[in-house]
This record gives sequence, C-alpha cells and structure tokens, in this order.
Amino acid sequence: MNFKDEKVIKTDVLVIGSGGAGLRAALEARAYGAEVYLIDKVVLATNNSTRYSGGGFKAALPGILSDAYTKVFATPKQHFEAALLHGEYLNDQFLVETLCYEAPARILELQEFGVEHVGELYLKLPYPHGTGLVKPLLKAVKEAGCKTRAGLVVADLLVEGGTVRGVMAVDIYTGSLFTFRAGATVLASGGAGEVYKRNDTSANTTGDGFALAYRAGAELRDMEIIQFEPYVQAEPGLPMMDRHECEAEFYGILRNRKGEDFLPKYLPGGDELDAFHKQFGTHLTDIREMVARSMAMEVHAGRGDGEAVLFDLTSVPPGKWDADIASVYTRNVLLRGFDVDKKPVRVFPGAICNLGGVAIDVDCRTSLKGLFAAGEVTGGVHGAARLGGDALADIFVFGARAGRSAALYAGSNGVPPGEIPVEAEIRNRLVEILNRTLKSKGDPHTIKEAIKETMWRNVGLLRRGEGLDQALTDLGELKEKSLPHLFSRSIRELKYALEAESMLTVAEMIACSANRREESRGAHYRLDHPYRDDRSWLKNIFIRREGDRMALLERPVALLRSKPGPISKFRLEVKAL
Amino acid sequence: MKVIITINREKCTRCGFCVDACPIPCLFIDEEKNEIVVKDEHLCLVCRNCEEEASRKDCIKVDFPY
Repeated sequence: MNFKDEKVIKTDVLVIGSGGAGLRAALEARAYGAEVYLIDKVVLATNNSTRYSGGGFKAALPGILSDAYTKVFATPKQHFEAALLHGEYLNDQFLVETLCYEAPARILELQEFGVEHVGELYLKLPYPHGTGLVKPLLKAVKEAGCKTRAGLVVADLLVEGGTVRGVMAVDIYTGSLFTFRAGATVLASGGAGEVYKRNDTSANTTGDGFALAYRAGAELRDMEIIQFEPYVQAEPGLPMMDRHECEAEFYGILRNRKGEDFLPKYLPGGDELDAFHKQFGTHLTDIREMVARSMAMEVHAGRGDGEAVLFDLTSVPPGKWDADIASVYTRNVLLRGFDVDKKPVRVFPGAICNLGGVAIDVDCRTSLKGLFAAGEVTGGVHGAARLGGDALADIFVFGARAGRSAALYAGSNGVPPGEIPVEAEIRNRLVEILNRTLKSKGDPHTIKEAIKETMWRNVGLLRRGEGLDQALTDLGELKEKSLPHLFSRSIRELKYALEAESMLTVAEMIACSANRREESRGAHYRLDHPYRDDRSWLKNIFIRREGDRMALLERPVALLRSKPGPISKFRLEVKAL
Repeated sequence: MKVIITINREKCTRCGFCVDACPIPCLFIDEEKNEIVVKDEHLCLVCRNCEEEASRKDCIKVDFPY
C-alpha cells in the first residue's frame, strides 16, 4: 500500500491544532500579515480540550468573570502570587507574569471574534460549553483568510540543521501525503490525557505534539506533572466524565466504603480552613490536586469501594438539580437513570491536563528555530499544580503570542525554497508501517491499551520508585518488541499507529521524570518521598533527545520575581493514612 | 434510559468524520468490513458531534430524550 498522491504546500505560518491556542495563534499570525495554514488531525475545532472544557477563565476581571465556581482576583499581581503558590514554585515566573497581566485583555478581546457570554459560558451554553469558544473562533479564522484543512495527521517535523522548516502529514480522508514547507511552525496540539486509562479528555489527546517536538530535538520540561480531575465517574455503564461546574455537585459528600466523610480528614479544618480558603479560594476547581489525592489515599489504604470512592448526592436540596444547565446535564445525561437520590455513585480521579510540555520563552519560542508552541503542549506556565480556569487563560495569552512570533519569524526568514533532506526518510518510515505483515503485537490499539494500563497502575496519582521502574520496564518492552511490528491496515488507520508511537514516547518521558523527581510537589506525589524538598528539588527537569537516548537535565528554578516562603502546611502527607 | 446511536447504512459514506468527532469514542471503523461500528453506546456524552460533523445529513442519529 502507498499514498494516493503527494502534495507540497508552501506557507508562511503553519499552525498544528484547532483548539483554542491554535485558532488564536492563526488569527494573530494573520493579523500580522502572514499567510496562515491551520491543520488538525481530525475535524476542525470539534474534538479538543477547549471544546470540552468547562469554559471558565481565571483572570483579574472582577465583575466580568463569574466567581461562582472559581476565585476571581482583583489585580493581576494577586493572580500571579496565587499561581506561584499553587504551582509550588515550579513555574517559569516570566511566563506566569505574562499570563496574569495579559489574560484580562485577551479574554475581553474574545468578544471581537464573536464569542458571547465570555466568563459565564458554563451558565449560558449547553454542554459542551467550550463550543461557544471554538466555533466563533473557527469562523473568525476562516473569515480572516486563513486556509484550513482537517484530517491531517502530522508524521514528523521537517528539521534541517536544528531549524524546523515545516511538517509532513498524512491526509487520512483522501490518502494523500502532504509536505508543508513553512517559514514558521506553531505547535498547538494539546495534551496527553489519553496515556492514562482513566481520563476525562478526548480520545484524541494522545500527546502528538510532545512526541513531535521531542523527536525533532526540542527541550521539554516538567513532564512528570499531570493534573487529575477528582470527580470522574467510575460507575460501570456510565460515561467516564466529570461534572463541569455543576451546582448540585457542591452538595455532594465523598465517602469511603464505611460511609465516612473522609475529605475533612485530609483538608485543613477550623481556623486553618479560613487561611486555606484565603489562599486557594473556596472552590473545588482550585483544590483539585488535594481532593484527587485524598481519594487515591483512601483507596490505597483499602477503604475505597473497589478502585473508587463513593460520591453521596442524596443530600442535594430539591430544586438544585434544575439550578443550572450543567446540573441538568449531569443528572439527565451523565447519571442517566442512576438513582442518586437513593444511593451514592462511584467516582475516582482521571487525568485531565498535562502541566509540563515543550519549554518556551515568553514569546513562545522553543529551543528549536522556526518552532513555536502554545497551550497545553507547553510547560512552565502552571508549575506543579494549576488553578482552575488558568488553562483557558493560558491558551489565549500564549496562542496570540505564538502567532505573532511565528509571523515575525517567517517574515524575516522566508519560506524554505526546496526539498528538505529528511522528507525521504519520513516517507519511507510511513510506507514501511503501511506495508508490514500483520502481527498481533503490532496492532496500534493493543499497544495503546498496554500503555494506558501500565501508566495508570504505576505512574498515576500515587507514585513510588518500584512502580515507576515497572512502568519503564513495560514501556521499554513495548518499544523493543511491539513498536518494530507496528502496522496499519489502511491510511485511515495510520492515525492510530502514529498516535500509539507518540503515546509511547510521551509515557516514557512522564515515567522518566517522575522517577527522577524524588519528592512530592503539587500534582506529583511520591509515596516513597512524601514531602516537598525545596533544598534539593527547587529544580525543573528538562528532557531532550540525544541520539536514541532520553537525556534528563535538572536546572534550578529562576526565582527572579518571587521566592517561596515557609512551605504551606496545607499539604496532604502520608501520615494521614 | 439508554442512548441509541443509529447509523443509516444506505447513506453512510464511511468518511469517518463521526468517528473522529467523537471524544470517547463510541464509534469505530471496522477495517476488515470497512464500515462504521457503534460500540459502548453507554459511554456516549450526547454532545451530538457525530450528527453535526457527518458529511451527509441524517446518516447518523443519537437518540436520547434530554
């Protein structure tokens, strides 16, 4: 089997991904006069994390953003301090500063692109709330004159002498092979929730961008930090999904198998509670890491209901289920007939967001020339834990910056004139996958399942040295024994094969850096190193490819704007068991 | 209450847009038979992406009263 035909496209700026970051980058690059091509591996602006997000922003916009579900700060400075405190100082402080000071403008500006109900999407729009963001932005992108194409799965970045000069992508709908020769490439391809068996992200979040950047030689950082959403349903027969900004949820109580309300045991109480809320806000979206870990702790201690805990919604006051759109959706669709008035529903955390990723500077430049990145695929903005609403602020702030930088770079460096030497190599690799003899262990779906299973078992919420070693052994085995047999029965299936390849690389990066970080910080929790260790670990772990080897580099965090004070006592420690 | 996803085989062009639009995914392409298969209907989020993105009108339908 071979490709139907080959096409070459030249453009100033190529944007990979049609989530919020990609769409915003395309708009900005176009505004700077660049010719822009926006591609997505599936249908445009449909199946991405922006669309399935709760639609809530975090920014210093009091009076405009609703503070029903997330704390709204009065000034960018307050936002900055909270983000650092919450991220436990792993953040790149310049990135956080940029985020906090630019977010208000970038969010208000969305109205110019036709976004309505900014700041209260989840109160006004039916599920999925993020539709109100991506659909108007896609329309604006098309109206601005950007070219778009769906169904293009990027196989590799075209690197020539350390500079990214475009990509090679497979059109899964027509069977053509596309070569994009681009002046600048913007990576806005999102996260990798899918490397975990339990996740509440779209099945397309396979971390392709992380793997592409890694293979091209770019640096990635903080890959060990994965945020888990606590209230993801674990009831057989019900969708594995959390309840976004649903008012009725606030009346729910988490219980263990014995029926005990266990959360207060882990979270601070009494006077401490006030200080805690002052610091982190009163809202669940801001303390997700702690709630998720409490749940995992209960299950670890053998007090869970199987591999889940019970979410008791029997005391939701009558009428609250009709209070907002999200509650109605939760009751009718997510719970569909499950009688929550009589019995508790099983819930357990699932992966929601990668906080690490491609290392960028404030202008979204990566360590490779010609490659820019924005959104969940980047690292450093959120540090070790993320405030609720910061992710959506992040994609629009850095999406716009990436678009601008890419347009300016392409303007001064031009579009590559001729063929790039690596093209033939990439083409051969793809044709080889398409023509392999079918062996069961090379099935992309089987490989994906194996990765998801070992990552969930060993690199999940509670990590320990032996588990991480086990994960690395399992992943190494898959890489050695299954990857050489990876096949695809059709060009359509090549999407899954390339995803399996990406997932394996991403999983290895996560497990390697989690193994290296011998402390607990933010969303990263080690049972064998349960304390935060500022003396040895106020460092970021960077990953870079050196030949076939994954090189890990530790670099101290640059504490240029703010330094950590005494470690907050509001941390979950293993003694609580 | 059950979600029922129906594919109109006569109208289906096997473009696969519905499969790609599904976040779960509840839909798969059976490579051997070359047809779209509904799997795990109980996991459907009723986001109706498949209906919106389908290349032909009414080739797929999500039935759920809500």
